[in-house]
Amino acid sequence: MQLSSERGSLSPDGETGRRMPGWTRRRLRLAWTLGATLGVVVSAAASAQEPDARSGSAALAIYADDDHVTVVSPSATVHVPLPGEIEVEGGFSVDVVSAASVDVVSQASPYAVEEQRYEGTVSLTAPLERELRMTLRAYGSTENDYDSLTLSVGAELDAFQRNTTFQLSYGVGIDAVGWADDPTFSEDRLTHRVIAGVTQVMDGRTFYDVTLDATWIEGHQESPYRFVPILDGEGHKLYMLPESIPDTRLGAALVVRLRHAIGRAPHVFLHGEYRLYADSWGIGSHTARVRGRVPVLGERLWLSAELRGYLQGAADFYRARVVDSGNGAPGWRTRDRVLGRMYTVGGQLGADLAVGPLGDPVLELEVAATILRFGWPDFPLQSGRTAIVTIVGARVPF
Amino acid sequence: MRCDRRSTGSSMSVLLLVAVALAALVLPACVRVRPWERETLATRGMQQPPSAAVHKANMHVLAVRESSRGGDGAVGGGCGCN
Repeated sequence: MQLSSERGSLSPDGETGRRMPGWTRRRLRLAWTLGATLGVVVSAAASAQEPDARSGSAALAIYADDDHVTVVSPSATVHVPLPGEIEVEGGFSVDVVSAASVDVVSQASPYAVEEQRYEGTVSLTAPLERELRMTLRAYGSTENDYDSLTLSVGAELDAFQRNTTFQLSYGVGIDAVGWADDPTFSEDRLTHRVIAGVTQVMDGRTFYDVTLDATWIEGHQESPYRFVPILDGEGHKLYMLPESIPDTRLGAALVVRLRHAIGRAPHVFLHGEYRLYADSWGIGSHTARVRGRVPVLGERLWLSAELRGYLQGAADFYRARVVDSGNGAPGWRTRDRVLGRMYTVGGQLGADLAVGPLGDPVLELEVAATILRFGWPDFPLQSGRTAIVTIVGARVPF
Repeated sequence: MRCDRRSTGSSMSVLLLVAVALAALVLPACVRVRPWERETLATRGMQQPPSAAVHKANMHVLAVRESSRGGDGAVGGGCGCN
């Protein structure tokens, strides 16, 4: 499933959301495995703990844009400490997508696409030494034409009187790509991910972290639903071909975050973040984020505001118009707007409220509203899209 | 000419990555903040919003709509890859 909606059923009768028996079996198997694992782990953990050590959180996110795409995403997370400073966390979420965007309607089905995506996570963190912790995490998602499973192992080491924390993790993901209209279509994708980071206290009111996140993806990265119109020299459509992009992608992101408390208590807090990204497809990007948090009502209520900007260059092989000038179509061709030049600007307003004693609240509530403007200067079908994301969340000890 | 500019830009990006990574490794040894001086760092204002689910939902929205990935806490695949 593609939440940005560049997909849909290609069935000639326009029927959408068809489910193939093989995919259904795989989806159910994965969902049941994740669900059973989560249930066993959380039940065992819950029965072993004092009631006030556990917490649960839930959220409802609603995405809606001006291109007729709506995504409703309820989610829940449970966090349970175990004896020996072991911590277990499990989460489950669903995306319910309704899409009738311009590219779905023009390129695939003339009708809206409606489908669901399920995902689950289980993680366990345990101390190995006094200053060293290890985390194991499993993540899976399933939908009608795409299954994904990721396993990761990570370690955190406190150093220099706990003024510094080093993080290192490795994850491997296996994705199975299907096609709702062709039960015989099955492609795989393998992802390796290494994350190394340092968190450093600078003084009593400031700390920063630096993270280097490298990803190597090998395998099928095209969308089976995406076809590229091949034009002649004068811009007339000659024929359509399936999307074709390289099987290997190596990318790295460097992120620097700074958090600082301003003035006397109760402080105003300022968070800043910058990300530099580059990959082997020639895509480079800059992302900047600034967030302010202001306490109200004696630090019981916090108001926050955030601004974010994202600027991305195109992949080397991206062409707004793919031309066959008599020698055939290019080997690499795509109509994925996300691989072209693009930008995102966004702003968010939010509030979170603690109910009960400040140091030990019985309930925490949060609401946030984000407006986003996505722009694709080179994409022929659409130059931009405006979206609003509304999120309501709650966290409660139990 | 376009390729030259891209090549130069990539080299500068790699150099910047290495420089910041090295600085991040070297700086920690220079700083000593006592435990009792870190009270402010533990307040809610320094933390992400309290609900992890809210943070993940925000990251998920952006992860499937931008081509860059990594460093944002979003995990796994199956999020708009097909």
